[in-house]
Amino acid sequence: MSQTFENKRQQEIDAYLEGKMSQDEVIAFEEKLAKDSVLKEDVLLQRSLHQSFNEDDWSTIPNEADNEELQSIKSALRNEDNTAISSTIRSVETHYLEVNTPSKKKGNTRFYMRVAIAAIVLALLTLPFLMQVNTTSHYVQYANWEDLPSLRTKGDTQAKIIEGESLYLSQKYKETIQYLEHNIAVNDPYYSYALIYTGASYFQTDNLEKAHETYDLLINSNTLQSSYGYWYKLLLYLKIDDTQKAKEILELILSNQDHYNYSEAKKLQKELEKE
Amino acid sequence: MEETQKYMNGLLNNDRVIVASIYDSFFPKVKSFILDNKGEEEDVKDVFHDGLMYLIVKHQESPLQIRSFEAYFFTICKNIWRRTLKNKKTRVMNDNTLHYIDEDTDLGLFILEQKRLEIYQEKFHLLSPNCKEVLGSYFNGMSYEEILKELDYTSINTVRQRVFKCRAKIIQLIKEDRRYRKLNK
Repeated sequence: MSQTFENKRQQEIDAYLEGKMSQDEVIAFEEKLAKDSVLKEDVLLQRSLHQSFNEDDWSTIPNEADNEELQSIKSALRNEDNTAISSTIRSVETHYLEVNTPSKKKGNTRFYMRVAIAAIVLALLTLPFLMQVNTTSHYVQYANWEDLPSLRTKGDTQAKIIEGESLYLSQKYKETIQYLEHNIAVNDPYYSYALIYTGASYFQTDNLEKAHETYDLLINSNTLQSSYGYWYKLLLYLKIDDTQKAKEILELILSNQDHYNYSEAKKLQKELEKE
Repeated sequence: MEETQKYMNGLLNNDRVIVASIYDSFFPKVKSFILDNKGEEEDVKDVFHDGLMYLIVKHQESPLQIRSFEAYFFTICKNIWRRTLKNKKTRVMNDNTLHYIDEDTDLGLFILEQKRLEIYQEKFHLLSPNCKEVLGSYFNGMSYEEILKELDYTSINTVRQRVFKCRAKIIQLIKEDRRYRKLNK
């Protein structure tokens, strides 16, 4: 196929997938699809790629009875061994939930609340002490709190996140937390960046508990920046010299080469192994 | 790897103690992810069960080559949830017409879809760093104008040509893959 023909064909596919065709054009294109199986395959594959790489979407496969692979997976799921495993999983699940779901009785809720408050108080009393006496060489070497990912270079100067970033850089940590929590909502495109700065500000004000909570939110945020959360949690553990936890986080960072600071993590892991 | 082996052997041998340790270690994280993303307690149970069944069927087919059990299992649970949300949305758009699909077919379809996604990801990683950057942005919904600014291209036309070439490359790689062709049979 010539380059021009290919280009034209692709432009048509793009217009169809992006919903930029008029109703008449859609009808004409779909008639073409019905006759041209190669074109149809290309359209389906391209739609599927878009859906698959978009974290807020998913690409489904239609339920067709003659799909051989589906039939073979279903037989595997239904065989005797796997049915038994499935029952074990369900039974463990029931037991797990019985043990781990707190009773809804008022008295018990109060009891859990008191335990939680006591734990927080203890953490607040202990952590500053730990932090004063312990700054490991690894922490000093790898900490990059002054160099958080910046959005200033991306040209979107109107974004509220830039204001949060400026507050952080001028070391107004409490104001950073307050500003970002009030101005950047969960659905804001820069929410994940806000979490990075909020977590760092909690760290700077010695509130490690809240810093961990914030980075857990980041990890679970399902965004391109999720893996930053692992890195900053790693720093928190290095800071209090919790090598075991630091190693666990390192494993998570090293599970995917695309994770933030993968090569730094690799270097640190080697250093920790030598000790 | 050792951890993965321990969990996978435990699952395949129907070892209650190991299954319980998987719940202890990973259920809270999956639960908080689903509850934070429009889900309910009941959903968490099904996603966790289906995630484990996925690992079992996949491992029986060919042993899993993964570095971190936790990271992989969490990704699978996340993807099952992405699929559930997508199906819920589609049902709303289709006036709530429920087409009943039995549980095994539903999980079977997810397994196929996840396998296909892993082929896409594998091929994506074979592309040049520049193609990965351009296509990653494009597939994530960025417009040509945004890619132009973000990646410092000189004109929209250059961006369009890069997307065109890189997309053609990944499509070619996917179509040539035997496993992909088998999935579409």
